[in-house]
Amino acid sequence: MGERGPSIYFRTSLLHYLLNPYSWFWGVVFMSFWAAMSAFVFSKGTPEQYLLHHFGSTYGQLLILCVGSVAIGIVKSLYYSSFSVRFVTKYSKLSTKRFYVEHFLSTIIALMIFALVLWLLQALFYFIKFEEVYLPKNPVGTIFAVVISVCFIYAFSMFETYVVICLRRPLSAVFDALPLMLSFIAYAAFWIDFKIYSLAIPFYLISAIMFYFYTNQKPFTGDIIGNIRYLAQHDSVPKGAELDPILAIASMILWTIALSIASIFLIKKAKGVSIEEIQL
Amino acid sequence: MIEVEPMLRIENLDAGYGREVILHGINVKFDKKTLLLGPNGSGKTTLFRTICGLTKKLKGRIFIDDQDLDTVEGEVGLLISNLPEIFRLVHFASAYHLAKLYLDLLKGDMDKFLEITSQFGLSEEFLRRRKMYKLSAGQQKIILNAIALATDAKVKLLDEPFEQLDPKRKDVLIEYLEMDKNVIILSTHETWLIKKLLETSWDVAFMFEGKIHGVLPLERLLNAYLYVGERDDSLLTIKTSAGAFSIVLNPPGKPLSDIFSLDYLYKLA
Repeated sequence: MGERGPSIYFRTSLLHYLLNPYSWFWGVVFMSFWAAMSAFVFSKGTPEQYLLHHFGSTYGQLLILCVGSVAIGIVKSLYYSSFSVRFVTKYSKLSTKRFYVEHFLSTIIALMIFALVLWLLQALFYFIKFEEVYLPKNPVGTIFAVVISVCFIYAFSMFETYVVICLRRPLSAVFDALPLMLSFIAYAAFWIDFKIYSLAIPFYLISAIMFYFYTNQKPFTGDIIGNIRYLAQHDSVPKGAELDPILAIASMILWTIALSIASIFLIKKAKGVSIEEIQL
Repeated sequence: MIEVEPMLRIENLDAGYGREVILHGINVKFDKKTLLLGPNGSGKTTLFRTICGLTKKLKGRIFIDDQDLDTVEGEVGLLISNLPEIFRLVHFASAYHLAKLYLDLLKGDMDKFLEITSQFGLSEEFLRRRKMYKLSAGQQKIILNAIALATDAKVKLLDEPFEQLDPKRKDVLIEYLEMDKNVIILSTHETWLIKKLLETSWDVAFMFEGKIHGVLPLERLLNAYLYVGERDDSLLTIKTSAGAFSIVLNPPGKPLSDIFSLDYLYKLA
């Protein structure tokens, strides 16, 4: 590659994430167990015409838990390499922006591969159970949903990592798992209606946007189980229970841009920190 | 004598960790290869970390070629060090791939790296097989030194590069240090180096308790003595919490190159 192309760092970083056995276990193997549970256990009682909705909302939930799990590895490796990042962004061709872009792209590609493998496994389990492949109604939109989801998780992970590095406080034990912890907000949405505030909760918007592109139906503001039941009984949804997908996508993109700009600023400010210094 | 331009300049530098100030009012200019001699804990590594931007400056400025290091970003060929913490960009890579990554980022010479490591008995095949964390401390030090020497950075900060090397390998490293055309600041507490290095190529500075004393040409120190106390005819007087020491050209005193390690100096006091 020439000077304008990616450096060896891009390829090395991509391999780093793809060869990480912990990411494969927690992001794919463990999540595929829940995909199997969804197909063989949790889908009982779901009307046949709503199995696609069931598949789409389950995949949306598992996607965020998958990338949230992998994000823990991203956070930990950034703590480990914080001094190196400081040095190379000053004294190598990997400037701060170039580091962010190459790390971002390598991580996003790795996360997309994890997301694809998870989808394939979930589709396999549903095929075994229902003898049907539940393809998304809008495949391009679904891929777009995966892309903006992993971009957001990446930006969030990078931001919270560099907040800890800049503060130099022993917070890492709590903050390591923050992306995964907040990912459970999406799970809570099965029962809780966030109403209009859902637009400000990107961890829920990921599953909502996935649901929208998978089913071509507007997502709910929350209370997914209650709303699907209502939909099955009345062939319509309660007033105000639907989320505008365009606003949801705009919110996700704005969150990602804001967190990315803040991260680049923090990377420039950070001196680096030893891993021992931020342990509780 | 190798011609080198004025390079690294430090003005009024204070630095440390949190509220603890380690470096106190450092003013120095390094314009050729310099041996930075100081006992353990004198602040040599903190100085290197501060120059690299890893430790917070409390005040002062650092320049390379009149370029303020605070403003530097993505500037290849300015600075390199063998500090291990700057080589942790990835942590699963083999020693070979780690070197390849850094030499790509720093625009260094991979062939030169392999030539240097082979001189130390580390073959390319060995480096491809072994991950960094599975190497011995001495082997890791060889690799980090070799990466630094395989770049063409104007200033190279080598922190205790002889540590954990056997005598034969120390001689090989000295040959590479002498061949290098750039400004090298070599920190060590081992004074035997004074007699091993080419006297016309090197300066010597001393570091005690966060302060730099010197810089003196190496040739003036070849037959110098270390005297406990102050003397009017001293080349340099160093005041520490353990007392004052003078570098003098005539006895009484202990020959500087015979002390072996400056840690011993505190025992003399």
